[in-house]
Amino acid sequence: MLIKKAIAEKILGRALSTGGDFAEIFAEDSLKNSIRMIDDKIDTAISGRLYGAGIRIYRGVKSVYATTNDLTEKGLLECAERAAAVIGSLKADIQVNLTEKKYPDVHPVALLPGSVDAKEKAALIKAAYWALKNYSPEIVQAQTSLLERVQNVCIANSEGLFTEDRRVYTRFGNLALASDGVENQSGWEAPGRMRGYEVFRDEIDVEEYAKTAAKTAVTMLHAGNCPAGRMTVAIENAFGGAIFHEACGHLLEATSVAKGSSPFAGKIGQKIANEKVTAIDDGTIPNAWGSINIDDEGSPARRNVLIKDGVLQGYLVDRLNGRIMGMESTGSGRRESYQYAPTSRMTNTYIDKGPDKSEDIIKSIEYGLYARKMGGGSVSPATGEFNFAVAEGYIVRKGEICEAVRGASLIGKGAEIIMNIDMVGQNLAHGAGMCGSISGSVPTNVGQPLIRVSEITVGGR
Amino acid sequence: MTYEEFKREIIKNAEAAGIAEYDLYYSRGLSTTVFAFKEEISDFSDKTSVGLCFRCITDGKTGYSHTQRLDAEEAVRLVEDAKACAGIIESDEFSIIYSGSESYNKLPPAAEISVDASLLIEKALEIESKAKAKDPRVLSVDYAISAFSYGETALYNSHGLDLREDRSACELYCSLVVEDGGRKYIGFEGKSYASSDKMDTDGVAGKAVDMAIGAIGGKSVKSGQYPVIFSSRTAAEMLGAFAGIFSADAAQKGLSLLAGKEGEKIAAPVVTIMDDPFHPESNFTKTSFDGEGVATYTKHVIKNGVLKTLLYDLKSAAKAGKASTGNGMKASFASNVEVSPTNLLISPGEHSLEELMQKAGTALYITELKGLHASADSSTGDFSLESKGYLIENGKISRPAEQFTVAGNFYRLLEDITALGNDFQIESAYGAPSALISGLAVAGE
Repeated sequence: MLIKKAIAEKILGRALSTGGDFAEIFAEDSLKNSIRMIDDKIDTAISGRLYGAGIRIYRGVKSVYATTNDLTEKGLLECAERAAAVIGSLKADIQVNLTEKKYPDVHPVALLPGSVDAKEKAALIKAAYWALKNYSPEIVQAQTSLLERVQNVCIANSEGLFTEDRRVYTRFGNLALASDGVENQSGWEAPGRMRGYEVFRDEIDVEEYAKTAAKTAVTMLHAGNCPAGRMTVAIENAFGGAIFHEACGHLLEATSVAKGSSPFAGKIGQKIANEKVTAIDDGTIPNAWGSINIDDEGSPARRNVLIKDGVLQGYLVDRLNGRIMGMESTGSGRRESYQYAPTSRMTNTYIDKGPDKSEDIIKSIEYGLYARKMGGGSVSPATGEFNFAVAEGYIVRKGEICEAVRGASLIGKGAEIIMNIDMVGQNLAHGAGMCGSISGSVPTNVGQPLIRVSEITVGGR
Repeated sequence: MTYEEFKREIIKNAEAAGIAEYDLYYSRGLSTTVFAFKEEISDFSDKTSVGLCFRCITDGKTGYSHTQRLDAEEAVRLVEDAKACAGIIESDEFSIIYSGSESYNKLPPAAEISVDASLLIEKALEIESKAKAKDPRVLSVDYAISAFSYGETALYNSHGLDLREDRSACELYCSLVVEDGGRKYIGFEGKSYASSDKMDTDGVAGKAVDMAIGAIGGKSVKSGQYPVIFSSRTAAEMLGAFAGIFSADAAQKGLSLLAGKEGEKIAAPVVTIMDDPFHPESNFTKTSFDGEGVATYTKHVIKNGVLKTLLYDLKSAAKAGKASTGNGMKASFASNVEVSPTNLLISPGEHSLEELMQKAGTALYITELKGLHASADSSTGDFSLESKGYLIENGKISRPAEQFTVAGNFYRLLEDITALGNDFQIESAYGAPSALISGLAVAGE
């Protein structure tokens, strides 16, 4: 444990000494390594450590958060006193009794970053690099990188919880740049897992991802501009799930629901989506990039069905917003690090398999866009207006996938678009991303099978 | 352990490890942030953060290691890990620990080292109450935020260079929802201030309300080519999204198309862009030395359309046979040195916003851009962005416009700027006036 039980009890007691009704310590010791190859050479290697704690106190629905890098008893007491002073004036310390709780680790790790020789890592990075660079003479620059992070956390709260967790993240980035000397186009693939280095021995073939990134860049270099306007769009599986993440997922987070501004606030039990849409946020998928054993408030991970057959089932709820909404936590309280207070966030979020066949979805489109690969996006939670980038797109004519087109984005309003998802395929897959919000950047998976959106605005030119 | 004590440990450990060339970068930050919601303080945060990064050169190769734990044991690990990182590196050209600039244009000390919590609480509550008082259609003020930040950075290296500076700023932010005719509209405004006495809640609340009210009744526009006016804020955001094209390191690696273009015309004659680390309207982004200890200075990047210089750190400058321009920046203590602007600013033009609209005739005036992190790619210059603003007809605002995108290529856009406004404003490290572009693709209905 990063903090001894007796010390944690004392800190929490002091945190509650000014009238708070709940206190929590989140202590963290994280190791991060990154190695990058670019311009034919491994040119950057960084190892680092994040080390600190955040102390949170509630009084009703008011929350105070303070951080420190000093995990000694003195440092933590000082931090607790700073936070407590905002709640009220000093009374007596409160007696807090902690019981150590062990949650099962359902995301086993065989090889921690430190147990693999740097030479082997370098060889992996080089293999992907050259697979990417040698894909085509039009690939003028490549970048491959290995990112490893081990986050050790200790969570204690005044309800008696005292627990710890270890989260191991491994991700591999491939960036391809194709050029004809006048224009550049890029391609990007970055698989990630909540697993150790063994992922490269039995699960992820980095050279395949590298070639896919190169293929996208070269294809886009020879593509014309995507036309603009409203059209039917088929969005491919895996990272295509970014559409649900932006258009709907964020609007189901308690962060926006509790304020009452989400278009989906107060709509549990109502039909908000096409009946073909069932959407799930599942933090329990073994070793998936967005998975957790426990969230950053110490609540166990859950599989939360958000929408079933088009009907809204529930929200993603953290502890504080749960107090405001009168709902229990759904294991969704997450944060980038101790430097952020947690709030409700997604884990692995996806649209479940539907009834339609991929070929039928494409065949059904007279004229439209087939988005094979998606990039990132964003949403304004109060209005549901979202956008995201199409990384690789093709025009569909008379049910056939035709020429590639570049530079497209998709925009719309979440509540409308989720109704427009009128065909849902069967080839469900997931893709790794980083999701940014007020509690920082956290690993999340997005996912879906091939889907059809009957009408959406395509930002082309 | 204090920074000075930790530094002594590092010096001792580096010597014992036989490392002759290294630097130690230190940063310490304090921030107090207050959120008001429904006439109460809903969240209050008081964060402190210390970070150190040790960078060393062994056999001509650079390795990094950083930490937030200051004790003797960690000072040993830091040196060992940085050395191990250097051992993985293959790139062994132009690794440099800097001996120091002749002089540094020192910053004044931070205006404040702390601000009373009671003042921040008062300001956050004021934002909410003033926004609600301004217009009855304000449904909720989702974020009424006041904040104070203090940051200290220091750099010590094996040549004995020992630099330190600090800075502070206050910030206000307001994001609100207006309801009209059963529809919701968002308005927001954020602003940074040099000191706490300058915090202007009327200005921030008022602008956020005006933005949301102005958007009422907005609808999409017909797809097609339009002249576009970016507001000063959105012009600055565009510049920020594509600032990477001015990096000499990116150009050397083919990630910018400006390689070999120094001295050539790359933008319309009205365009002048400065990199100015001391701009009086910049607050938290002022800096007198970069992440390698090189003195920063003010320079033209583009003058009257001609690319005067790219931005260089020590390594890219050595590769090009030039001097660093003081742009080897560290995004945080945990980051490696990367070429980046200090404050990158498009110089204002002569026209009022009304004159730009008159020149444009029929056009779109863009006041909000979304998705810049995902749908703007600095390695290609391509962008396709969710936008909001107004339709301009007959040289005047005719109605609000939403649910459309503007798309184009930033390299082309630089050449297509036909006029600049006199309404310069700075948004964190990027500044611009409003800018009229001759034509961009718009996707709507």
